[in-house]
Amino acid sequence: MELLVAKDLAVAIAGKQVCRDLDLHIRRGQRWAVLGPNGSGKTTLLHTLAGFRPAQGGEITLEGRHLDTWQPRQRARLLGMLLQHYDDPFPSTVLETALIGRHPHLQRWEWEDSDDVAQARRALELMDLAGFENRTIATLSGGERRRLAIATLLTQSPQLLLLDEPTNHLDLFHQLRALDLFTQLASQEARALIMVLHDITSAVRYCDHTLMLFGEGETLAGAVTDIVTEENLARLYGHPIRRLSGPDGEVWTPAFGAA
Amino acid sequence: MAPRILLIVLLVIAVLSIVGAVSLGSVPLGWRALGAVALHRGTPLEHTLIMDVRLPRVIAAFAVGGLLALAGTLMQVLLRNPLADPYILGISGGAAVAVLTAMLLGLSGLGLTIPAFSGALLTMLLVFTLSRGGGSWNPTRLLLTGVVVASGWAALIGFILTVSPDTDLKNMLFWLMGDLSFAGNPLPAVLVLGIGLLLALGVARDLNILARGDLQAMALGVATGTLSLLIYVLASLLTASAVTLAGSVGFVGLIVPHLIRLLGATDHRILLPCSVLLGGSLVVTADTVARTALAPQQLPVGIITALLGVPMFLYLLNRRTR
Repeated sequence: MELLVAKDLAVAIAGKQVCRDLDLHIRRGQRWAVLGPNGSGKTTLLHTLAGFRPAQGGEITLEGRHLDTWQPRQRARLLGMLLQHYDDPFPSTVLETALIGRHPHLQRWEWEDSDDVAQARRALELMDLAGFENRTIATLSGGERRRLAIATLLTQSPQLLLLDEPTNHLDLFHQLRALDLFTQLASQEARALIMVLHDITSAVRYCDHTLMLFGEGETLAGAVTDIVTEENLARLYGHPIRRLSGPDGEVWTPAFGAA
Repeated sequence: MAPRILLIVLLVIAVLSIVGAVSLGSVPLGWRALGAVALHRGTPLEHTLIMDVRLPRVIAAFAVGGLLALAGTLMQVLLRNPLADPYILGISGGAAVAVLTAMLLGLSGLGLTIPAFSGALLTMLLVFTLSRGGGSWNPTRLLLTGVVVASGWAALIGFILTVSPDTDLKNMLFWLMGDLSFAGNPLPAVLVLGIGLLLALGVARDLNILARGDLQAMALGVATGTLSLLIYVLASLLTASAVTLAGSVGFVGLIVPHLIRLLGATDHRILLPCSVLLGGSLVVTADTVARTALAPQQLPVGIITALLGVPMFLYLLNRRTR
């Protein structure tokens, strides 16, 4: 079943074209990687798909309904986003921060009940933050803050997860932990993922589809096996990329010394 | 302190500060007299002193404190800036220019109500129109516009003070520092405070999220444009009501929300009512000191709010080094 469909999508920011005539069909169970060099508009595209900013052309539908016609809270139950960066101008505890994920599920005057709290605690546990509940967020390290942001998204529990560089700031173990978890959500619970990644090996290992943004509006979308090739990647990054075979599958690495 | 316990403690403090303020003054009145008047059995003097003189002023003080603390909490969320206060966007400055001009023209007392309120509303519209060039709510642009407009008003205030006759200067200074001696009927302000608190509580969970940024709020289904407009208009009206009643009482709107956060309540569903209670109690206590400390001379209440609030805030800030 199709969760999100973009037709003839055109997105531009500050006079720069991110994509034009882009058709995307995101189905339940699918895991999409968005690849592209810095400034190619990966975040802008994600923000457009999330409904944060208007598209310059084409249309986006979520479960068959135009994205703009959704009531914001209802939309947030289906579609969630992990941002690239979080600001915390005011103090708050770890548990309070995870609990804001329940906001779209609650009525105006409703308070979080024990189920909501249990859900937040479970999400914190999954991100190895059990025992951190009463810590203030200002005392967290960059990686811990990132894991808390992921836990908040898990507490929100949307069907389509837009992930802007989900592995930023995470140590290698927690990178794998997070990507494994997202993959499970897609395969076992029929949710869908679109994630911006810079590591091609992770993209190939954890995703089944790829969208490449070349800049200047040119895009390429398709199954990982079809489009993740040394030729396409070299064109994408303007640098030769090598595919190696490792003990656990293929490994992609930039050619060293070729710059 | 557990947030709900904090709310109850502050409620008790609010009641105590109000009772204390009513009993203290040039003629101290004990519990017996207060009880007698409450049961309509007091002497005519006691009755007049409490019902016509002290109680309206104490209620006005509480309303001013509550309005400013609520407005300050909302402005801090709207601007995502812990340094924001109700006056940061120039609302009190606009009111002050209108009031001082009215004083120059010979108006005084309740005649200053309309100039104060119109000056505040004019500033609200001016800053709103000027800051929305891009059509969206950009906290930085709003803050810059407001601060610049406020500086403009400050220059005009300086100009008016310079050209005013000496006889008017003292009244003008009292108004600028906040003074409750000429507070009129406090009931409209109490009504505004009640409705404002109720509206703010209705969006309190949304405020928790908007405080963490526009994108996070949008991602969790908060209609950020509508919410920002509501906060802006509400905070402006609350500030305008407070300034109309008592001039620009400083410090309360900036410090009270932080005091409550330092005491452990960061959730706006608790933070908002706690701020109203503490803001109200602080101004009631300050006004009691202002009218009794150097009696029969009265001091501007704004001086005392700062003198009480500064040590309180510094103590709490240093106590917490988690």
